[in-house]
Amino acid sequence: MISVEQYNLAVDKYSDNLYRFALKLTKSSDEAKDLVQDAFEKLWKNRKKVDHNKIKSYLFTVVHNKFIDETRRNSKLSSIDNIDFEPGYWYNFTGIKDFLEKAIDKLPEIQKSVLLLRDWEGYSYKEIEQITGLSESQVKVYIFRARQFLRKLIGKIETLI
Amino acid sequence: MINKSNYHIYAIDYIEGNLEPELKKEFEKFLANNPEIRQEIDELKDFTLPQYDANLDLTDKIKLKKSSIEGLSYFEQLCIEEIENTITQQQRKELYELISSSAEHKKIFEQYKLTKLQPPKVFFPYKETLKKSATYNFAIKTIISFAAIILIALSIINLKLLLPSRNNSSLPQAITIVQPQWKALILPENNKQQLSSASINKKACKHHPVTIKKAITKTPQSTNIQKHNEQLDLAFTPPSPDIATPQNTQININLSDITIYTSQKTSSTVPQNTNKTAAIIKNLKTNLSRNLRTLAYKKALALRHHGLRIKIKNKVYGIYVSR
Repeated sequence: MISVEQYNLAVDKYSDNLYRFALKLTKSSDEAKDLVQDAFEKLWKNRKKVDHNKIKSYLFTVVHNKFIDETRRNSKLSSIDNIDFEPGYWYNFTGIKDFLEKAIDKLPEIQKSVLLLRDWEGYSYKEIEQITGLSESQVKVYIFRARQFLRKLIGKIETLI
Repeated sequence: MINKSNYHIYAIDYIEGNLEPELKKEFEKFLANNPEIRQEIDELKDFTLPQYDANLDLTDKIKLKKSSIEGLSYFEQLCIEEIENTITQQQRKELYELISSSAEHKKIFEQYKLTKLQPPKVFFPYKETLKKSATYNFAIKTIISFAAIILIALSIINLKLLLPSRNNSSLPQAITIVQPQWKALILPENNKQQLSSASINKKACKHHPVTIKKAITKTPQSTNIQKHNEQLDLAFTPPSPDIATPQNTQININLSDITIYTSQKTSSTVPQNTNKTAAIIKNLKTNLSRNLRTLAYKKALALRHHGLRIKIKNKVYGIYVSR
């Protein structure tokens, strides 16, 4: 059960992170805003059922599921070989952080989501399992594959430069 | 007896110093007689086995290991386990063993370290819109319900006030909005006689004549109206001499017979007689009986405001009494 005070506190504490997460997934501020609003609306609607200790993971679960559901049909596996390494595109980064920001978008959506939950939000494999509905071992595999993908991309760009 | 066919049986023991003294003497005598074999034995004495290299063996052993994740090498797995902070002590030892053994491994590990993402600072701009009022839980639904009921009730009242419906017998009807001049004064049948018998100042009506257009036959409906509504005494006194209506004319009239019109034509100037109209409405209010005059006044005002609000340039110009 969540009180109004707890709900409003959750808005203050989690809306920025949730928006950042949604923004990275959708790459659109409007869609991200909608996802965040939907998540909080759902939280409010289900406030009698949600444990106040699990508000944050509940919000991320809603955003993750909604995003994955909407993009599942269009989801395709990325391959390092399919990435365009046109120098004009990849050389315009000011640093590795900038480069990675763009590189993350090349990941398959599920890997991206899991990796963001891990690195940006600091969730454990177990918590990500609860948020995404994947098994813990699947979560681990997705994270490992995502890192491998990014590492290869870094290696490739270093070679080109 | 040691000879060329069996000397190798004693050779290793001789080199390692394990021969019995008698056999040793005999073997050395044999070597003295066979210098090519002595040379061979001397070479064997100089041979030493290479030292066991523990580091090299460990690296090779690690390299033989397989990753639990398909598509990743064991070394890559170790790198990611280290970044993820899920690595065991043994695995960490193996990882740094591999890193120290090869520049390529070191480079790959450095690249893996870069894959740890740093969160950017992002702010949700609509935070305040998400928040709920503390009283929401208890009151908001009730308030919304009451507001809806009130709105519906007001709408119904407003509709009754705004839409002239001659079928409605319970309330006075027919205030609408009109042309800029006094057009006509039409009275119900039962009022015709009173009007005709009234003292009409014809001079005053010269420019804005009041005419009796049509006499309406009493219908059961109008009888109803009379039953339900009070018969009103309307002292129709013009607010100023410019308005040419019969002075002190006493007219008995149902409120349902009163219609106020406004012009549909647009005008950039406010007609002079707008104020006069207001004065007439005021006059109506003063003279109507208590129960009905309030309704009539509200009705007139509502229409006036409605007309002004919805059609900005439409003004109330006059009152048209009609059936």
